[in-house]
Amino acid sequence: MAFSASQSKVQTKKFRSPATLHKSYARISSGIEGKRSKYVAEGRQTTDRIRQLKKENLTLESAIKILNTYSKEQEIERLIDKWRSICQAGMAYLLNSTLLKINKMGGYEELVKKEVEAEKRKLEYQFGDQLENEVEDVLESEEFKMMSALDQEELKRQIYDRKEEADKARQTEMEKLDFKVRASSVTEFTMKNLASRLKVNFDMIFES
Amino acid sequence: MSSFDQESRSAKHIVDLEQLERSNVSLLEQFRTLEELNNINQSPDRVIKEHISLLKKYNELRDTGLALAQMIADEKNCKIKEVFEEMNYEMSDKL
Repeated sequence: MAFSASQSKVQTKKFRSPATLHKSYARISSGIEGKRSKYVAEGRQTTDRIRQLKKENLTLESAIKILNTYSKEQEIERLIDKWRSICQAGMAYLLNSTLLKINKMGGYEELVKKEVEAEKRKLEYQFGDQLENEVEDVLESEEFKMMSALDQEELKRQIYDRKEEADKARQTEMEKLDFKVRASSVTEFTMKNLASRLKVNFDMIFES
Repeated sequence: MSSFDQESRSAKHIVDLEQLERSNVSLLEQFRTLEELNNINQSPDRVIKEHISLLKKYNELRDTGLALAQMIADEKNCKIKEVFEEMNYEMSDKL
């Protein structure tokens, strides 16, 4: 009978209800999942730290390389001073020669007037003739002639609207140019004017 | 990825990390020594930024200087080299 008692004990272990089995499976599975997410988080932390250290080390290597030849940095500073002096001397020479030319022309205002006139002629051509020709080309094109009267009217309206906008823009530009002439009558030609005309960085050349 | 792959990858990451940390300590030490030697007190980032900014400024001023000298040479109808000679500067730089 001793045999049958131990057997019955084994049997109670063997036949667990499906609900109990499911619970224990869920418990194991959630344990594994927890461990896995912890593992993943640790892995990510390590990867981030590796990336950060690689970046830090690269920066350090570059900085060390620069500091190893630090006398070169001082040499570059000396060369910066050299080229700044060359720029200043060059600008001084060009300012003098430009002022001489301006005086020969009759003064700064006269120079600006001439430039503005040239600019206005350019604008007249751009906004006037060019657009006029484009309109003519469209109205005389075969595609336009093949359109219905309604479509032709619509296209004409669009073209004239565009022309009107262009006229307004031209007017604004002309006013700006007139203002430029008026402003030049009370100012004189300076080093800053020269720098802006030559498209060089005034602050970089004359910084203290 | 199998758990074996994951484990070996993670072990490799740890080895890499340790190696990088050791290099970091050594590089920092080198940087501090050079910092002291050159009598400067700047972060590595700042050292690099200043170096780049110096080079940029040098290039910009040199380009402008050469362009201005060329304008003067055109005006005087002479060679750019002669303009530099007149200004008492050498056209080339020795670094």
